[in-house]
Amino acid sequence: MSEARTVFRKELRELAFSRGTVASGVLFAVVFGAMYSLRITSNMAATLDVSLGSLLFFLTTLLGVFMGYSFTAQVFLREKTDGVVETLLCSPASLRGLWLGKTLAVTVFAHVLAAASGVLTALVTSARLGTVAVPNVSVIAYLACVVPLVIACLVGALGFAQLLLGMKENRVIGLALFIPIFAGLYGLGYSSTGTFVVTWVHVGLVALGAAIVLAVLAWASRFLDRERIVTTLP
Amino acid sequence: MLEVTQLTKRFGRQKAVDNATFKVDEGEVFGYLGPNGSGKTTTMRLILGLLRPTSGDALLWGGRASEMPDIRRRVGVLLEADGLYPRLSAYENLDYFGRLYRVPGLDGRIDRLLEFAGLAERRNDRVGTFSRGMRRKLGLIRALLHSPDLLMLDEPSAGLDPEAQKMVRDLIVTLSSESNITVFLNSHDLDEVQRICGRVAIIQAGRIRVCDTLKALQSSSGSPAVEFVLSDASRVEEAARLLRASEGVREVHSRNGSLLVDLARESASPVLLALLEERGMRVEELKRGKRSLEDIYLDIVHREDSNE
Repeated sequence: MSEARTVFRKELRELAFSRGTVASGVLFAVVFGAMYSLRITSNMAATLDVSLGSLLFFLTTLLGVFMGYSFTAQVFLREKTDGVVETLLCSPASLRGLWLGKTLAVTVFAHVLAAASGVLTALVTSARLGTVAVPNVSVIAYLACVVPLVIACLVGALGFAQLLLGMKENRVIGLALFIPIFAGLYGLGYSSTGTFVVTWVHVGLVALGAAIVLAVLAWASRFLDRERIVTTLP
Repeated sequence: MLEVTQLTKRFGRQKAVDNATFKVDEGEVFGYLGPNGSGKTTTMRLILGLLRPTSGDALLWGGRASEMPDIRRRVGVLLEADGLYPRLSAYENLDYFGRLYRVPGLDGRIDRLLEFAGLAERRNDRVGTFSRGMRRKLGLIRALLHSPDLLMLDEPSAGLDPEAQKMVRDLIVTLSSESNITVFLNSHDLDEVQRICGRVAIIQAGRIRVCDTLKALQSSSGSPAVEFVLSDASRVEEAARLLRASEGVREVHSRNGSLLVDLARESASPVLLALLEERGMRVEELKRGKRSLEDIYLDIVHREDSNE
């Protein structure tokens, strides 16, 4: 695990100190937060906690997935394009440790930005409505514990593919995986804000699904292969 | 220490390495030469466990690098790409790899190596702002960071200025003689290999053509050789043409104003000397020819080219 921790620290540091990465992350967090926040204030049919709950449920998932997608390429793919991965593979670090450390770093970074966007949304909503808007406990639990699991699923799967596949395949798979998820979440979120009541069942179901996918990915990480990585270098 | 036995690697129908067999002993500086696409890098990747052999084996200390992290921990690597993160500083790069290799007293070791490579002042600068030569030097000290027993170097002095090239050469010789580090040097720079390697292997089209000590290669290059140094260097090519057409001559190489002549028989040299003098080409010096690694290399590569 120490190698995963070393990789995690390095990747997180590199992401956090990359001005472009932070700027684009913050920009998306603010834009999406404000956009969704406006939607809630104009939909007063539902109670505030229902509206805010459904908004945060979709917004944080959507943003987490979006940021996870964009940062994964920086963390996994860039190492292949820079040619550093070959040297890294000669180190004593295991492939699973490398994959895990990178997946965790992107997950944490994307989650922090998504959560910050959620907090910002709640603050803007409160300010616009002149009242303190606080989501219910299930939504807070979802935001704190389940969103990172969902992000980790996408990042883990994409990272896995990026290590094992060539550039062309990665472009196709990235878009094929990302566009439907992103569009689906966006559409669901936009249409159901104010009407969708987030319950513990929803939270539990998403958490269970994400946990299963993660378990499959953790098992599949044994199939990561040095030769495959080296022979798909651009 | 490194034992390569009947190593073969196929990519589809293409044989990148074909039945390669050689050994490298501890403390040896071993040169691995060959033209582009000859299988040098593939051999290195097979030894390092980055590729699986189709057949045969490449063992380090009796084990496979791909399967044993403890073996990888004993190997320092500088590949064609420097293996550095351009967005991290020199220190951060070394710190990252040092942690992966679990180097004890890492901070002090990094400072000493940066000082040694003349990069101490650029310690906190991003590697992306470094020149090619500086990156190469940093890549080299990254490979040395964990005090490896074996250094696998792919063109270590490519892109370096002459002073830095000398530094790399001296470093390799020092590491080998004083610290008993084994060096596997993959290089195009024949002069560099000739200066620092005890043994060399020449690979072409995936096959090892020769593998021996430099001394043995120079003496067993087939035929006796003599070197004619002409007083008028401008007539070297004319002299070469004349000698090539003469009886008892196998091959003529012109080198820095002199002619290295491979003879079919030792007794031919007085005849050739007389022939040159007769044509008004004064021979300033006649000595026993010692073939350079370049001559040997080109001979082997061209011979194999013409066979295929």
